[in-house]
Amino acid sequence: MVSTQIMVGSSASQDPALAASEAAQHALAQATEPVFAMVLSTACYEPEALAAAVSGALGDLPWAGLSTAGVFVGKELLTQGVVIGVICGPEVRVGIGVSGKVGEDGRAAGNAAASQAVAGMSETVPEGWHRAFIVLCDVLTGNGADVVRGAVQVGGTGVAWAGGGAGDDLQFARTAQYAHGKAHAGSAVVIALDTRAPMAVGVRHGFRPYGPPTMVTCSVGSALAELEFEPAFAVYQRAVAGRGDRVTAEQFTSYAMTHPLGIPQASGEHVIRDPLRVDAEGTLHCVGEVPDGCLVRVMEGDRAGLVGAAQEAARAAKQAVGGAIGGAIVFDCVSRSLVLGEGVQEEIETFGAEIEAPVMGCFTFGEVGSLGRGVPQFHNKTAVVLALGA
Amino acid sequence: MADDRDIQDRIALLSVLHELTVAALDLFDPRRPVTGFLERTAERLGCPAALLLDESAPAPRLLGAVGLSAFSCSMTLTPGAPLPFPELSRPGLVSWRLALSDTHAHAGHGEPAQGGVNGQTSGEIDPDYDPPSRPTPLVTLLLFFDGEPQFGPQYRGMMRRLVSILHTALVHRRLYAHTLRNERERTLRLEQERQARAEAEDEQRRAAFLAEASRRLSTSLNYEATLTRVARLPVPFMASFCMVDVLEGKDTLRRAVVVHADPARSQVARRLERTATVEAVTLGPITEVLRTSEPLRWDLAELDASATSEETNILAQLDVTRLVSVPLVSRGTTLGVMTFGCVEDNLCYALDDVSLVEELGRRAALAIDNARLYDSAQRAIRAREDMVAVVSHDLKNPLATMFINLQVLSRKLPPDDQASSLRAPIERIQRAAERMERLIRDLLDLARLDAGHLLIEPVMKNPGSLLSDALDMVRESAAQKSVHLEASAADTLPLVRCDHERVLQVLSNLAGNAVKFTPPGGQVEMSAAQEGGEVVFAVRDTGPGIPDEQRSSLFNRYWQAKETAHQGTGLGLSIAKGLVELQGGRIWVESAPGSGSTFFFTLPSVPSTTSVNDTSNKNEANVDGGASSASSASSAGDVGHAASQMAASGDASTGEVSSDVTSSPG
Repeated sequence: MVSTQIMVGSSASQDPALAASEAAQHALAQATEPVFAMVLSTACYEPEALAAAVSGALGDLPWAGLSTAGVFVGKELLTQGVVIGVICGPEVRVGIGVSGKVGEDGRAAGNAAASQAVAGMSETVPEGWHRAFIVLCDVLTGNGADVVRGAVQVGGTGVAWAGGGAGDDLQFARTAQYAHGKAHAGSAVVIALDTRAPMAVGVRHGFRPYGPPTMVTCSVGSALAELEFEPAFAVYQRAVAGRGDRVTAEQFTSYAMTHPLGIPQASGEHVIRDPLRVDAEGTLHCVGEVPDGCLVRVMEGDRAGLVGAAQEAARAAKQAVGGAIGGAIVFDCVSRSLVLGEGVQEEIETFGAEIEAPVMGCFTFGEVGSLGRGVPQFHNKTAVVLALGA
Repeated sequence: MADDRDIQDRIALLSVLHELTVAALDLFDPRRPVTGFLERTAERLGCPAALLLDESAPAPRLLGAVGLSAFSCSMTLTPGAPLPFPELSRPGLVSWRLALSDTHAHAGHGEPAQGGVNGQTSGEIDPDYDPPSRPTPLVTLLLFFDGEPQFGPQYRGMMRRLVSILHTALVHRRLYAHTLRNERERTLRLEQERQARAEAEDEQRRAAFLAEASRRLSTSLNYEATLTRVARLPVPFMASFCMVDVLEGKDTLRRAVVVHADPARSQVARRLERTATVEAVTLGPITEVLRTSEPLRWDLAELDASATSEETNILAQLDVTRLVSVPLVSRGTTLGVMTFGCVEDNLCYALDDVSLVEELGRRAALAIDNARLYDSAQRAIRAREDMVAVVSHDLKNPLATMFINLQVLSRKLPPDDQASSLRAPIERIQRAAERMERLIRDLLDLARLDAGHLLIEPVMKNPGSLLSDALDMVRESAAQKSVHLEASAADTLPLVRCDHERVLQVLSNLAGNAVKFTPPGGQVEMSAAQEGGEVVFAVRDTGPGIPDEQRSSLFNRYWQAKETAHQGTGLGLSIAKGLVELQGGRIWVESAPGSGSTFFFTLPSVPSTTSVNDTSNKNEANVDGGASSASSASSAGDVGHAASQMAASGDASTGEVSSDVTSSPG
């Protein structure tokens, strides 16, 4: 008996109406008992126009999604396009919540969106069922880590957590989150999914630490001002100089693409923090908070490591499901594609090869998932794979 | 590789320890949530859940939790039972229990997730949580792992160190929360006191302003002056601009006064003064207030574009943009509208305190109403004085002609009974004319009394002589009715200061009434006696007496007893009262049905050291165009006259003058 499946469709049309129509048509054509549609789009569309078009194409089918820096389905990578994945099955339930103003209080936004998502569902996961939460949020105006923490205060652990930060075409100007048939900005969207078949998440990044550890002595949110009481960038420069590299402020963004920061975990893993830019005071602005008092290390990654991590993430998810897979949703950090270059195609194909089921995915600004079995966190430069059991 | 691995592990341990230490120290500040520390701990150690429990009796509770759903956090914990949270019921979970109550906290390795706690749970610690009735809390940190933790045993030592720091932080957190709470309460109290003080000062200012306003409004009863005062009152204290519209007649609204705080703009402001019918008023808010009698705040910019008029243009020129209009209501009637205006960007007390402007409006309306009433009264007085002048000149002249001609007729009549048929009508005409003369005289007297124009000429008089003169005036009417008439006054009575003619008018009125109401054979006695600084005159009769219900109306003008209705004007006692009071005396009556009546009145006595030769002095309230009586003979002459009268009666010692007059009927 088929429990859960993801039927995917895509379109590269730049016309939002046509793109929505094509993608939806293709996905729905194969779907029996559709329950929910996940919509991933690039940033080339006017969000309100796309939302209206998708709502029109999907009719009454609940849907949610986000704008991203790129989308893919199967082996196909679309730098401009829409991917729609219809989750279908007789034993699938969904709840969707949205909350604005992540910039004012990310924790409250995550809490509110998650509360809304579970409002129509049972307070605990029913016996024999499994629950997953997908968190989609704006990280340009708010703290993604706080959004996740707020959502976890509602959903708890013991369930699968996945998701990502909405993106655009690397202008870091404006992103869109979709829910209830509308486009939102500066918001958090949470999808609660209950299925009979297990769901699991695999999280890997593939970066290794190489620089000496330095203590964070001054940080505010995602702005890392000082390392060991010195301007953070100066310390960063010394760290990479130890490896024989030189980096200037102008070169920092591209250099940091392959040399992010890592926050050590007790397990030996590192949570990655992606420095996007350095300002005149030497403060490194990252995608995601850097906690005061922690030790950070400069990380390095290469193509082989990243692709390997992608494979490990997919494998971990599949193994955790422990059975046939009905489909997978991948939240892959956009900076990985920048590191991989043309090699991103290999990464995308790795997901599909490992999952052996329909795979849809996007390039996000930050990812949501649990490293190991602990509480979910907000990551950078990480691949998160949500696998749905069939 | 092993070395490298070892270095990595040490770095991770140091990083986690340092980060969690900073997170624990952050808890000194009660404004930071405990969940912050728990989240860091759970994230770095890879825990699916981390809880902070207060396990002290009687009602232990959840102080903070990470990894539990909102539903789980709302669950009630059962004493002695395992933790009921679904997230912790998965097989294979391992927990570390770390007590914070002493420095030798220990970690339970491999313990299954359990713990008996009492009481309710909550999702977050109350930063003000300070239960004075509780013993020192027994706080436990519970960390849960999905299977055996995949890091070295040194982490247990690290956590032991950390809970010690956490314990210290939580203790100081409570103390600091207590301090913050006290500070908050103190600040709140200070703010409340400051607010109360400001409100009291505000109230004082309002009261002082209203008191001053009332004082200014009461300085004059002139109508136009009052309107001007009303408009100037609020400027500039309450408003930059004020205008007063008053209803005159049913449909006419006159904008009487317009005042602007800037003297340079006064001329422009006065262009708003005008008169119009209510329907033609272009400022809608004014008619709205007239219609509803309710105050109205309005903005010039928000007026309907179709209402643009010369008035709105002038207001715009004056920069008056925000206004409030209040009705002027007195005795339930709307008299007009008072409008306060504010110049843009200026502080405007009027707009902020509508109750104050309403109160000012009430006081202004009262002042305007009083001024109007005073104005009406003045016009009525002037009209009455004009009438008095008409009466005194235009009615008296024909009467004088009648008297003269009646005298002529009487002289021409034959002296015997042959002309009796002619004599009777002439006598009737005579009586009617005399009656008319009395009525005119009484009306004039009353008018002068009301207007305060009645002239009296006080002189010192002997009470006995006054009685004697009054006796003579009613002697004939008493004789006609066979009423015994007598008067008595002791020689030792002090002189009284009075107007001779007017006192005689009072005595003759009282005695005349007594004779009128006494049946034939009855008695009327007039007397005078000293009481303190006054001489009390009394006129007593043996008539039927006056019922209780009539006594209170006796001195009202036009009141007459039914029995003798139309025999007089009904003004005599009212005039007598006015005359007595004008001379500093009092008048009253004592009577009972069947026992006759006694009318009393007092006059101030002259102190005994006063010479009887003191001249009289005029008492002029106003210059009276009517006749005024000249000063009569001095009081010495009056004493001599009374003495001669007493001698005539043969009873000099008491000064009693009696007259026993009988008459035959017909």
